[in-house]
Amino acid sequence: MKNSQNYFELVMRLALTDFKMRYQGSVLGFVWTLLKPLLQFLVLYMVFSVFIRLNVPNYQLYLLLGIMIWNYFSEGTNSGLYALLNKSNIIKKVYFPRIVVVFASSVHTLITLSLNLLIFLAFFLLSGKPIHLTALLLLVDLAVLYFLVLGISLCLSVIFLKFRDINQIWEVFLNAAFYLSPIIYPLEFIPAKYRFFLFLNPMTGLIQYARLTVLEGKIPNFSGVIYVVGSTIVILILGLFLFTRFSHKAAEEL
Amino acid sequence: MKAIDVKNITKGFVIPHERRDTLREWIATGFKSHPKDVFKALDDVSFTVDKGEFFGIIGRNGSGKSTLLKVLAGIYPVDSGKVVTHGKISPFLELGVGFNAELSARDNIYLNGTVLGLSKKEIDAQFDDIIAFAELEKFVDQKLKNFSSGMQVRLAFSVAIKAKAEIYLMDEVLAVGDMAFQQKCFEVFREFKKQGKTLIFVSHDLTSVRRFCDRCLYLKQGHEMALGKTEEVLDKYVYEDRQGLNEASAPVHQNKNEIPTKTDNVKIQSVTKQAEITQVRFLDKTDTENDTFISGDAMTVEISIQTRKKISDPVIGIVFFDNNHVECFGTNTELRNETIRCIEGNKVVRFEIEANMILQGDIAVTVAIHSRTGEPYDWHDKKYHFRVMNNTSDVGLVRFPSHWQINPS
Repeated sequence: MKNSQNYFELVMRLALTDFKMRYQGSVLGFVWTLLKPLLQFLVLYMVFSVFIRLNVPNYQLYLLLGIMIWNYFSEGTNSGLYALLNKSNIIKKVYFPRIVVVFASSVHTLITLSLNLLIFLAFFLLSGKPIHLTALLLLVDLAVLYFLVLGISLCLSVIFLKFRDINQIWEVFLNAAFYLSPIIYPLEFIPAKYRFFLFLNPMTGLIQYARLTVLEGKIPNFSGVIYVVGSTIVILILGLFLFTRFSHKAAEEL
Repeated sequence: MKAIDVKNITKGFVIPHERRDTLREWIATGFKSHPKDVFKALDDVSFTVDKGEFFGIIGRNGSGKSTLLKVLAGIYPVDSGKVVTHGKISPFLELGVGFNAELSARDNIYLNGTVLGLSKKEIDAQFDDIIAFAELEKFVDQKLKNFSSGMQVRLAFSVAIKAKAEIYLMDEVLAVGDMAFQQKCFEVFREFKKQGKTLIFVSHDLTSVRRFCDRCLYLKQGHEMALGKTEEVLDKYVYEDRQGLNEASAPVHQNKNEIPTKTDNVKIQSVTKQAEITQVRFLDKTDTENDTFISGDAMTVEISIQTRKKISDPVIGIVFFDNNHVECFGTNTELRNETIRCIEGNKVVRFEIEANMILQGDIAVTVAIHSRTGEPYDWHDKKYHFRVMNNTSDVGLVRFPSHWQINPS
């Protein structure tokens, strides 16, 4: 029953198709991929910089980077949640390792992230800010983010087979986590004694470290990195465990 | 050499009395386990398929055919038993898996091909072949949604046959497509056979099963009913298993509603009901009631009549229609110079057909009883139905008893 074949191409093909299909039929097409975070940025920037007048240095870049990283997390996990369901038509008809569809979903959102980062790069260059060598560490940061999203997606996709309301719960959770992560506000606004709790959310670290390395040219502290990487590994292992344990019946439960 | 070895497989599906799909429901019911029923889709099924063999799986709806195919493909895990396959198995069951209506034919070929396990290089190399076989050269960059269903099937089939495997699983693939294309498919199957590939074929269409399969498995409600030579298994399926027909899953029963009855109001309203047709039964060559018949076999229509009072010299007629309401054949006792002197009380009349010349299709039957002067006593317009299975490779509605005579030149 095992076909020794390379499933990498299948992952890429499915991801590419999903990306193509996403804005199918809309006039602007994939431009939406770029427009969406920009519009989101504009709204938040208006509210927090013009109305509320937060006084944060480099607020535009600060906010834009935060939004892009958060959007990858939120879209990635959401699309991961539906990964099995959305591909039920092929899961029910063709055998292949089910994990392929979760990989495909994570790659598909990765395409969006890459395009968004190009916009960020454009903004960054226009702003004339100095480019720090530490900015290269952003890639490491994003790699950890990728595995975090993948781990959560693996968990959610199989939980969704059993509990069809997990999507509602996850939506509420994402909404809360958006405000509990330092996306629109700098971490310094939080009283020092509560900051620790904010860091329990690995997204706090991932967003914070991205800004630190790209905008400020600093290297994050070691223990924080260990926690973020450690919790990502734990979630990834949990995801792999749950997925291998429960996905084999996906074809009949969908 | 064996290609597939299936040993005592059982597959059940849990049917919870109350389905709990959400966390809210689980919490509301306190996570207690509910009594569950297990529906056994496959119960202790064993068979082997040899390498190079074409193997058919037949059975009525809900008999477990498709479940079995999914088990073979590895889509469903089994509860117990073992499936061993030797050689690469094509991972697909149906045509056009993953097809997306919004994408072009080109994109769909790559998508479908990749799902079937082809690499981009392999698809690149065979792309022109695929398009040519599907006869869609002019439509390569058209969106699939603008294709007719026939075109979609052609495209799907053309990709499917490129999937490299030694064992192919096919579920009702020939149910679609026009005749010319079906002919093409048959040629591909012949080619597969020549190459010594193994094919597992699930179908309702007994004609193609008969045409291609060396051996067959007949499933009924998850049980193995027969396994062996195609002819023998099909005979058992069609003639010996009447019980299944009455269990609501027989195709003809479903089709009844699909054949609209164009009722001749004049005739019906003026029916005097001096005599009544109480029952019409179709009997097969073993003289047992059935609703599916093999073309060319003997069959009998048994008409039961009840009269209120004595009627003399009635005429009983019968007309057969195909599902396009075309009159295929009709006759009555008068035309055949038969005289029924009188009927009083109950009478059973048999219309015996030596050889049923209908080749295939769903046939509607009108039965009537009237006087010599044409005054109708009772008239059942297209009220009765049966199905004829084609056991040959011929095409059309009827089959002439015929053969080719070719003189050596």
